[in-house]
Amino acid sequence: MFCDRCGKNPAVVHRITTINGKKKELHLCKECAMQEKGMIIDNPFSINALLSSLLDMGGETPIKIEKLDTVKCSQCGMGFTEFKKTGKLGCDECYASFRDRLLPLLKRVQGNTRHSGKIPKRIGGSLRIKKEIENLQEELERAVKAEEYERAVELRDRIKSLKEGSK
Amino acid sequence: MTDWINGDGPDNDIVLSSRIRLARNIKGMPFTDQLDGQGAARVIDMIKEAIQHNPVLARDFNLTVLKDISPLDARVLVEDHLISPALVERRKSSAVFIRKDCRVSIMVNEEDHIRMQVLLPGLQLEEGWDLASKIDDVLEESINYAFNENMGYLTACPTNTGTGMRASVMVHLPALVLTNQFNRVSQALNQLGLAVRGIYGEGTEVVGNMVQISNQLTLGKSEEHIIESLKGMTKEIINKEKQTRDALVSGNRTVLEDKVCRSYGLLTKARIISSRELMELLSDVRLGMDLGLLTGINRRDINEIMLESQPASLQKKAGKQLSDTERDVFRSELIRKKLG
Repeated sequence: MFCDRCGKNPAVVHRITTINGKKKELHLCKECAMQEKGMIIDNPFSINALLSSLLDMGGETPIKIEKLDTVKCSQCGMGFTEFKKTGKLGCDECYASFRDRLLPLLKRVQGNTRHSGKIPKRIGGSLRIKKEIENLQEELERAVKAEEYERAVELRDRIKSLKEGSK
Repeated sequence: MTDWINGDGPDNDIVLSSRIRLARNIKGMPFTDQLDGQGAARVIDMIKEAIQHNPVLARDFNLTVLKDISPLDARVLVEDHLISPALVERRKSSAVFIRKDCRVSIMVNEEDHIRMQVLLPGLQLEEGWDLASKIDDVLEESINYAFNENMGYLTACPTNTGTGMRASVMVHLPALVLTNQFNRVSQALNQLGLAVRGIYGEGTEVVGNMVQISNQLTLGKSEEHIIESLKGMTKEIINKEKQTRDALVSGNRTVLEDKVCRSYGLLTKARIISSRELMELLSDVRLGMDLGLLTGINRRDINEIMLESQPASLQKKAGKQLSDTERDVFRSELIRKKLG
């Protein structure tokens, strides 16, 4: 099918409108569709743009955002406004400097704000054990809910021995 | 050359390869895009030292500095799935350590200081994670990672924070596509937090029935958890694809045989083949081989054709720049040499 306007290029955008029971069809190529009123052609999707728009969602008033936007990272000096533009942080310290604004964003994007995966050995054994106990406890809750009692007993014993071992 | 092209590995009739990617950054250093030339060079040195610190890694990995190789060679590395386009974009300051068997590459100064990738043939996600994590442990002996107790490994983009891990499988799903079931499968996967993409990664469409499936989220679940659910879903898809293949063979054997043999005919006789057409024909031939409808073809040849007939690899082989048409002609010659 070719474009209704120029008749040269294949039609890639199709609009069907029904007004008072009268159906109207319009088939356009990309170039002509860009010039047509009311036709929105999606730009290539960018994750950064999406992140920035997520940041502007939520209940905060504009005034509060402006105030927060002057916040700069104490290590690399990146401003929060700059992050909003690019979707990329400047350094590891940005996570601490922008913590209050990033946590709701992480919650929205990742659905979670608590890491429960690998921990660098360097960070130390006690944190590893603490995290493992937390993970096992969650698993225990799930097992109890699912009435998997044998598994629950197993998990409870593992938690107990980890707790005793770390004392 | 990457060894997944040999086509071995578990479930190799549907899963081409499994990939684990880890993102890591160095504590106290600006992320890559904020680094000046000196800083970027220092990051490369730090990782070089970390690798040399370990005799096994020092023996197995070779360093390639991106600005020292030609743009064509860089593109060949991308086509071989050894580096990412984002590493080439930062070619002024980026580098890559590639293990001799090409199963592991450690990209330096990509979006994050370190992007490690393990690429294995077939469905081997756990094995991939195991290997990636071990190399990660070795690097960590010399490098202090940016890590936070609550937010995990800190990355330039918050969408990677947490595990910093992206696990993915490359699967060939001709039967699901042919029977119009693929869109439903794809929607279901999205709902379960998995991303579905074309063969060339983010933002690419599905070509030649090759699909890449990966985890979307990196925070909140452990690496093992993420891998377990991706593997589980992949197994489901394998089963569904297999059932559909069987149904196709028993229901329309001649029709399917005809489709497969026609494609084989085109592949071996045509004189001009575009890369898109090639991917579509190869998909049919691959399916024919898997179902025993075509004999005398091996998986390695098919995978080799797929890799070597990409634009940069073709020109590298030809030893000169080729126009679009010249490429399509040269591509058909290469295919006839392999299958002829």
